[in-house]
Amino acid sequence: MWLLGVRLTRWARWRTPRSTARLLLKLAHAERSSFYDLIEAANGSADLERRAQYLRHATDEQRHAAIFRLRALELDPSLASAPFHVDFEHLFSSLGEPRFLGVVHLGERRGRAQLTLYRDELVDRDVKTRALFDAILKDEAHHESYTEALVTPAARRWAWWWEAGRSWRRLGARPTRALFTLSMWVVFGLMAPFSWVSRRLRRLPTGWQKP
Amino acid sequence: MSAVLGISAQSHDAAAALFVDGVLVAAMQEERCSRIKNDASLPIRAAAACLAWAKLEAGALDEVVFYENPYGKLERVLRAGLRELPASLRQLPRALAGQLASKVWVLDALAARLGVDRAKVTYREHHASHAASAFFLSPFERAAVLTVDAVGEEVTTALWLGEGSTLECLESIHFPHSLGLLYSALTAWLGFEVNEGEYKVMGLAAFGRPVFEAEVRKLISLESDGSFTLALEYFDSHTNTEVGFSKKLEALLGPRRPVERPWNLAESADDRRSADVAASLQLVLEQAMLGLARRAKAKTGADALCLAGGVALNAVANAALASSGLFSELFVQPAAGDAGAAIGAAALASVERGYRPRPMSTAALGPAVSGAVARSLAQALGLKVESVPDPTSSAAERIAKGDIVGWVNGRLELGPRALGQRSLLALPHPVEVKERINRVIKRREPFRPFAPSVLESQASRFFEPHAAHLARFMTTVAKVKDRARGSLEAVTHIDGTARLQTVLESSNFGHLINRVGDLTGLPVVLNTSLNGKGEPIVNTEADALAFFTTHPCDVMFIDDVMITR
Amino acid sequence: MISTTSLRQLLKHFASRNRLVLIPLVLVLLLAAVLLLLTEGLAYVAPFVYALF
Repeated sequence: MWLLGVRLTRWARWRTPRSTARLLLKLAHAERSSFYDLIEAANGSADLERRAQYLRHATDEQRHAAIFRLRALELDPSLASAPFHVDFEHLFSSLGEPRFLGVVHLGERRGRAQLTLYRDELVDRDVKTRALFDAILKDEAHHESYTEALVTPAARRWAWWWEAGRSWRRLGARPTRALFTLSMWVVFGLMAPFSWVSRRLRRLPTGWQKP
Repeated sequence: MSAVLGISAQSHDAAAALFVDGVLVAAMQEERCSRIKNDASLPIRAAAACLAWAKLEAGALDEVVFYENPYGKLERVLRAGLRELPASLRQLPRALAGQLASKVWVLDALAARLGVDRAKVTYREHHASHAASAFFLSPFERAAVLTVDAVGEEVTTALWLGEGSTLECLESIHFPHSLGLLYSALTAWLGFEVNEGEYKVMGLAAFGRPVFEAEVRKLISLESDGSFTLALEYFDSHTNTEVGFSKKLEALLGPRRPVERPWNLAESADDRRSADVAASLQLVLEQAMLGLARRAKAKTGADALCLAGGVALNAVANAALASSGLFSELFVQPAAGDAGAAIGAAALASVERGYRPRPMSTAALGPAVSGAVARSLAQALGLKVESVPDPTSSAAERIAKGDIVGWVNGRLELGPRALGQRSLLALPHPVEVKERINRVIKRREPFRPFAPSVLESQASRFFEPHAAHLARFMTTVAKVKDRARGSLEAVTHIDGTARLQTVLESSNFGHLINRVGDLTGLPVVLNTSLNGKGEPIVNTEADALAFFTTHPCDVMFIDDVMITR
Repeated sequence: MISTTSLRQLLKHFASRNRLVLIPLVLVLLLAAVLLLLTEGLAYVAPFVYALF
């Protein structure tokens, strides 16, 4: 159902190299953020086998991030200076391993579906980018299957509801932020005369100041 | 018993440091736990690691000290933003939101997340924390202290006199006049990441000539009393936090170098020009630091000088200070940036409680590694594992053979430099070694040099005189002796200097270097930090193995276990 | 999450400054705080290059 939303915006995605690059960069960020969660799991899990699996998964995500980013910069070098927001919420330590696995599995399943969709959309377009998706999808299939084997049904259900709540909050964040910024502008507009006064009255201190 | 935990966070490089009865027992940067470079979020994990090492519960802490005054910071943000209206209109709402939504309430957050009484959580001033991290951890009873960075609450540079258990601020320079901001603005202009690329600029400077000194002197005027004034029209730090420099600076020096464009100093005139700007900046920085040092000498008459604050990470400037002859001895806090300020904050509280810290003898203050864990994890990953009862000798043999060796041993070091606890080691020659590590393993810019680690007792064979206290922590550079250049080609920078580390023979790392000396005649190794591009130095066995499986180094030693593919 | 100790420290800090500068600052702070409460604190705020803020 949520894929419908993704499908609807197809026309925007591959329009120019720049828009493609931006998408790839977003994917790179997502992979990188995922890496942090998985390395935390690799460092934190009690079971040795699972630690090794998380470690492998983590290095895969790291590699994917690098691949996506490299291709994005090939298409649009100006994105090199784009700021990178790290979305690391320490899910392993805050959710506990079972729920963490639920979230990871859900994420991998959705991620794979989304990447498959992108790959299919690229059929007659960008061969190089398509090959990239092919390579990454192989790993993602493995990620989905090993987490499937480990996750409990309860954790799966929990993760679905948790993710739904977050989507709702994410939706609300933008208008909230805009409202706040707008109101602050009004406030500062009112403050402008005071700022003019303070600039006239108090020069910025230069040179050595006594404590 | 007195247990004090120092915390730095929210700017960049969050860290925790634990003093028990005046002894610095543990310290760690949050980035090494979270694996996010320069992680500035509250160092809860780092704090937990420190407490675990000392086998203490959070409830046993007498005080948790935050390294700066959150209310003072809010005030400066507000004042500076209001002054610069309407130019600051875009940034100020976000800045204010950041402050009011979380940053100004950091003391409450620490109390809640560490599980201590709010009454036990206190703060100290930013530059006082820096000063304490240098003076109280130095071997000096009396010293002048200079703290130089971008900005704390409002102070950017301060001069102190440290005597015994007292530290007195004599005078200071205020925002926006800041050497740290000058260096960062040009770091950004050169296309590097701020708070990350500054030491790359320092390395680049050696490839250029300071032909743009006059232009840089337009950006900052150095006064005769040692202070300085930035020409504010060239900077934009109030209003544009993305780069910090204005269009006027680009009109003066040219357009900003595109981020991440590959460097080619041999063939690109543009790149050589960038190196010239870097060299000019470095020269002016050194002039400024010398001016400050002269002022410090005049005001205190001290024989020793301590340094801290982000600008003190500039090892080349430190070497210039050392050789100026103004002071007979120098000490620089190895974690001179905000990470070290956590140590300083805790040191201040410790001193107040009657415990004056002992001099810092090692930076190995983080968690240790276990061969057993490494073995199981490596086996689960399908790697070849072998027990080595004498890892220092085995590693030395591999290094002597020409291998590139991952060396994970003992406690994780604090600070930006790897000092033989989480290092990538190799022979200091031939020059191809440098190329291999730079290009294939660490994937860095080609102009970046590598540093040597040498037995302290043998250092004078290979290096000209240098500040001994600084060399132990890689906070200075020294000229490589002419006759040694050949055998140290992979660690000698283009200007003939090296940012050396001198190592005591009694340590594990010292044993290793000694063995390499036995096998090759040269007790020197190439020592670079064990981490991939854009990552913090590795911490745990899992981090180290993640590195090993993704980077083509030849062998890795974790504690008493040797791992190969 | 905000304790009375912190609020007290915040007010004490501003109370000790130059009175003339105080008024607009406090006004802005109060308004901003109210607005933040109304817009529920902004869970995610963008990171800053310089961490001046």
